[in-house]
Amino acid sequence: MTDERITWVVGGPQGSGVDSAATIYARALSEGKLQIYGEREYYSNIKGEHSYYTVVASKGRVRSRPSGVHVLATFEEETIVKHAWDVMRGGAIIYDPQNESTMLSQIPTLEREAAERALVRMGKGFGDASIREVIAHAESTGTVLVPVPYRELTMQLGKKLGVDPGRLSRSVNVMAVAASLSLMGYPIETLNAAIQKQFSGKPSAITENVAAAEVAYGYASKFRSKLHYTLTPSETAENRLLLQGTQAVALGKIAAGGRFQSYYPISPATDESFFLEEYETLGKGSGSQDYFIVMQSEDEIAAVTMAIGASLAGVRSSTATSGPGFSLMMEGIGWSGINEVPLVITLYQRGGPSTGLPTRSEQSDLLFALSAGHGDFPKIVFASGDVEECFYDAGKAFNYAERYQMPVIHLIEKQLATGTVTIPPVDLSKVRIDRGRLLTTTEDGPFKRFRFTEDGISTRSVLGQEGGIGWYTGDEHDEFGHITEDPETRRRMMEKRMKKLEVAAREIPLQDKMVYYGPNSPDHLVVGWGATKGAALDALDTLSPKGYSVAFLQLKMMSPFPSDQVSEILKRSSDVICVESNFTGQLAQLIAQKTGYVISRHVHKYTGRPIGSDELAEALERLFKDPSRSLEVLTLGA
Amino acid sequence: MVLKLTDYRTEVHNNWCPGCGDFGILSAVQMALADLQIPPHQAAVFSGIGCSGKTPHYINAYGIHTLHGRGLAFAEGAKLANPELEVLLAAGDGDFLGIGGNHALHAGRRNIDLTVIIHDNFVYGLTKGQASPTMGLGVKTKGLAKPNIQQDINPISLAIVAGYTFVARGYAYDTRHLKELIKSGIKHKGSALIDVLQPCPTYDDIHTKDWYAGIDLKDPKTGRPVPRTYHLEETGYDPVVKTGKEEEVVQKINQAIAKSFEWGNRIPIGVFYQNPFVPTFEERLAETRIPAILKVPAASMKIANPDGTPAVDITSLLNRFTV
Repeated sequence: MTDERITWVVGGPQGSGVDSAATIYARALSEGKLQIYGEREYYSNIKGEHSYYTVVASKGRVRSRPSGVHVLATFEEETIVKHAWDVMRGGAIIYDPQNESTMLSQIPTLEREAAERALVRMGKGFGDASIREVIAHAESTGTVLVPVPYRELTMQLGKKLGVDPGRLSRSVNVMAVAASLSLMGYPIETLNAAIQKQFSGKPSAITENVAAAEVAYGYASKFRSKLHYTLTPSETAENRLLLQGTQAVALGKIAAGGRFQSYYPISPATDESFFLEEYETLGKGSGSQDYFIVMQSEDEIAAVTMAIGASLAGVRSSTATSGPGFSLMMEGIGWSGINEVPLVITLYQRGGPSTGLPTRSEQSDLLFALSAGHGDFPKIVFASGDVEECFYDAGKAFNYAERYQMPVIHLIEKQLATGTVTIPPVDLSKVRIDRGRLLTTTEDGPFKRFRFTEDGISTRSVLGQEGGIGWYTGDEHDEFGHITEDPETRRRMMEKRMKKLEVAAREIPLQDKMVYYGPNSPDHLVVGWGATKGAALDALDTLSPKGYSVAFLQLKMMSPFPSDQVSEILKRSSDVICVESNFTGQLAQLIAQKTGYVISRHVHKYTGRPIGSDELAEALERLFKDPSRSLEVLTLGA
Repeated sequence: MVLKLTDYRTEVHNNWCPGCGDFGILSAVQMALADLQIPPHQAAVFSGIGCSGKTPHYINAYGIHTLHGRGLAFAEGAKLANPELEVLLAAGDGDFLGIGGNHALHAGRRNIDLTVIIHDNFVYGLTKGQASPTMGLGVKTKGLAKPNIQQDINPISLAIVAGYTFVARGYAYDTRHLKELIKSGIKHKGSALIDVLQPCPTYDDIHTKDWYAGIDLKDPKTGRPVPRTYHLEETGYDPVVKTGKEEEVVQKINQAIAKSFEWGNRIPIGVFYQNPFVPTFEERLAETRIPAILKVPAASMKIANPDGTPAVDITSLLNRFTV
């Protein structure tokens, strides 16, 4: 088999260099112009718990992870116990032979349930087992075993370089990467280049890691002939971007003129604000006249209200958060709604409820986002389907917020937030900044911030602007912004505000609301949203060649919801299946509410792990074959 | 053109109770703005919820009546976005020290250049007289069914410990004195907090205008009332840090905290503490990270060309992620 898609997994304790191993691996593959899809899985923990990184590589675009693993790179025991079962026939496990005698019961971070599942897989109902047994079981299913004696190799290298071998033990993660690439016959030069970039400015780290990589690369080459899979660089010369979702959103905000973000630390949203702070002078150094203010607030209530304050002063302002923080923002969102203040909230969904699964992915905040804040007021809620969309959508969020003068909630999942992927180069000429109706000249008579207009949208002044004095209040107000409880003014203000959502529904182009993939009148229509897009499209690529007539409808705009268009599409197929990473089928509920169409077949996942393409294709096929089935629950992922 | 007091007034019907201390505070704010000749459009008056929350509607300036306890966070965001704005917050005692306590505390760490005026009458007026965080333990006003069972917060000490660099107390009906305090607070570079004592004629029958005026305290010689409030500055008290040296700062802080606990028949009003040596948040950003922030407010930055394309090219930033 050739290298159409190669899945590589590296695992280890949090803080042991798993992330940097994956980054170096991704960089080495990028040096060879391969495209990457990465998923990062980690516990809510700083050091010690099991974390792992999955990197799928291909010469073409990769959008999700398949089920099997071609090469599993480990340097301790737990990764073997948790992932050995996923390695495909002819694939390899790289491991440290000195760990063979460790018993499962001796691995402190391994959950009892995970150990029990491993024992069951090996045909042992109870008791204990050694790593040697786990590896032997893997070998019996066709896995190639690649023992790499890290300690011995670093001792030898230390002598040769005259460096303390203890120092070199920090290069074990790089050695695991080197051994992986060696097994697949991928050129070491790419790895050297990746190491240069990763350790830029630290010459001794470069020397040591390059040397360690060479040793491991050479050592593993003797196993190369046993492996069924190879990885070769791409011939293309095209440039692309290697980005995480949080970085794409941050860059999208910068490009679109966002200049203020307030936040309170929360996983997994914080990375975006950190990135913005790192590039607060927009990459132009301290002499830059353009800058981005990032404010770490005392809580999420302050985060959202500071952003509103900055927006009132005329700056494109946003905040980024996740479930618990978003819960604290409700009152601020309502204030922004009644006061028609542009506000962008980037909501990185993680596993709920409550603290839930802080570092895992889920799509369970959709209905909450739609109903965020008490009372009736308009807001725009929309979701990006992949990292590329994240970039453009981050800019569009500001346009929606300013044009329609309302809060905008941009939904993203942890899966996209922390996964590193290769995307086509972003086209800055496609970025458009629409600031909406801003006061430019002095109006005749006193300025009315909330003047009644045909489309509900009034001219907006900003704090400090001459001729624009106005008032804001969370109470119902008159056209000047002063408190009123007059029933007639209340009625008109309510209608004015809600009218703007109708205008938004009319003006926002259909392609920003939903995207349809596949044949026009399919036998089976798969509906999904957010990060499900990648797995769904890849599943379609598997199912279509098998003769299934299947299409995918990606919903992006949740409010205002494209009810008519969705209704029309749902009618084209006799079998509609909704795929979501949540328990209750929130999109299906929304569709029922907005169109009256009740979707009766579902694929759900709520383990906190992203949906994989193979598991989705298999689930869909089971549903296709058996019309009496109504629900498939997915479970892939350690 | 000289701005007059009337330039800071609005036509909005004022619905505070007759005799409310809020009237004195409102006048003092308007007089301070007029004295300083701050153009109405350059001032932004924020507020939270409660009777004090209505203040912005009565002032001709940008008025932002926000959420309960959150006025300060709104104000901080606006000030950072446009440091040229004159930012004031009309806060309530419950609003600021109760529900907004977290913001009140953390603003001190930043020293953003703004002025907080606490309308401190010991009660939640708009919800009919519950005890606020500044009401003393055991006090039973007519608005309460039972004596207050929670201890009070001392706003002066709290502000100083939190890091506010101008901390004062005023009295709503000593309007000229209060006006001067507000002017000093506005002129002070950094976070200024002025705790303003005020009677709530509707729910508090203890801390009344007569009580503050000392009607019950007769001077044995003259037989005339002895007002409870007195001006700190007339007693030789010096609140200002002169050198910025740590030893001096500690001494001034200790002096102010000790003074802030004086209560009962003698209540000091005036400036308790002022330290002009602490850099503002805006200055810290300018000095260490974003030099342009004090030259070009974020609110004035050009972000778009007339055709809607971004005014700032971020190609070099994107190149860092190109593979």
